[in-house]
Amino acid sequence: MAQATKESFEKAKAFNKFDEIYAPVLPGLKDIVMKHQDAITDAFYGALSNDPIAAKIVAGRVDQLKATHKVWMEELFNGTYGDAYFDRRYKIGETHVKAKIAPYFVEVITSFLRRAFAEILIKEDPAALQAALAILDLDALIIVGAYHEDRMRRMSEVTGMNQKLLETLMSFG
Amino acid sequence: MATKQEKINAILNDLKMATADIQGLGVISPDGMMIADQLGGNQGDATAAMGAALGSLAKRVTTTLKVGEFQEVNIRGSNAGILLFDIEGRAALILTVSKGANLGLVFLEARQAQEQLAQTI
Repeated sequence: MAQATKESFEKAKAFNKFDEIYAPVLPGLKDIVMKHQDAITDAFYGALSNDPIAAKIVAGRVDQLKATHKVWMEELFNGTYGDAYFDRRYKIGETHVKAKIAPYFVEVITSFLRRAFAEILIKEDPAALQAALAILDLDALIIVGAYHEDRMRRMSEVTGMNQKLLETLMSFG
Repeated sequence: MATKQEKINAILNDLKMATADIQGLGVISPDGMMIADQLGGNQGDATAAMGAALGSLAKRVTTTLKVGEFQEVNIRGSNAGILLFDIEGRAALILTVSKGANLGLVFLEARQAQEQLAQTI
């Protein structure tokens, strides 16, 4: 199911020369960013708690979600962004889909994190901020891809049309 | 020995010759690809995709409403008609027929072609 998103992920990495330019930079940023992780995560869940819809989703499990968020942030800076990385990120996307979190939140959360990372890394070498934003964008691509594939799967299930046919039909739109 | 494509085309040729009420015809795959095109015009690719969509939806509705196996769809437009016949889920036969066509004859011939295509595809 994740094939289309996986292809987009690989294409996006190749387009931006991610493995060549950004991946080597990211492990060096881990300590700098993780020093601020608690503050970022607290601000992040504070913002979510102020949103009436998001507040209902996170209610009663903020501590557990904060721990998951910490792991997610650490993994951004692990330096390897191959199949295993993709699979873990795609699973996060599927979890969002199953929890019926509106895709809109992926966009605003990514935007929030982009600003948070920029505040920390603006004082560093420009390559640092560029690399951090590049991996955030890739993560958003994967998670949004999980939403897209879920919609296609459900559309296929409801209409009986296979996904190739759905894609062909859309090409005439 | 005739190729599969030649056999399919021969079945379509015979069907088209059976009655002047059949204006165009084709065989399409479940993916919406044209297998054999005698529809005329330049809408073949779109027709194949939409015909496959029509067949898929018809099959889905047939299953949902529990009316047995999907067999065919009959659409009547103000100027002409469209008929779609399932070929054992592996393909579909699509026909365009003239306004006021003798549908009794068209169905008789088309169902015969449907059986022949099922043995060929």
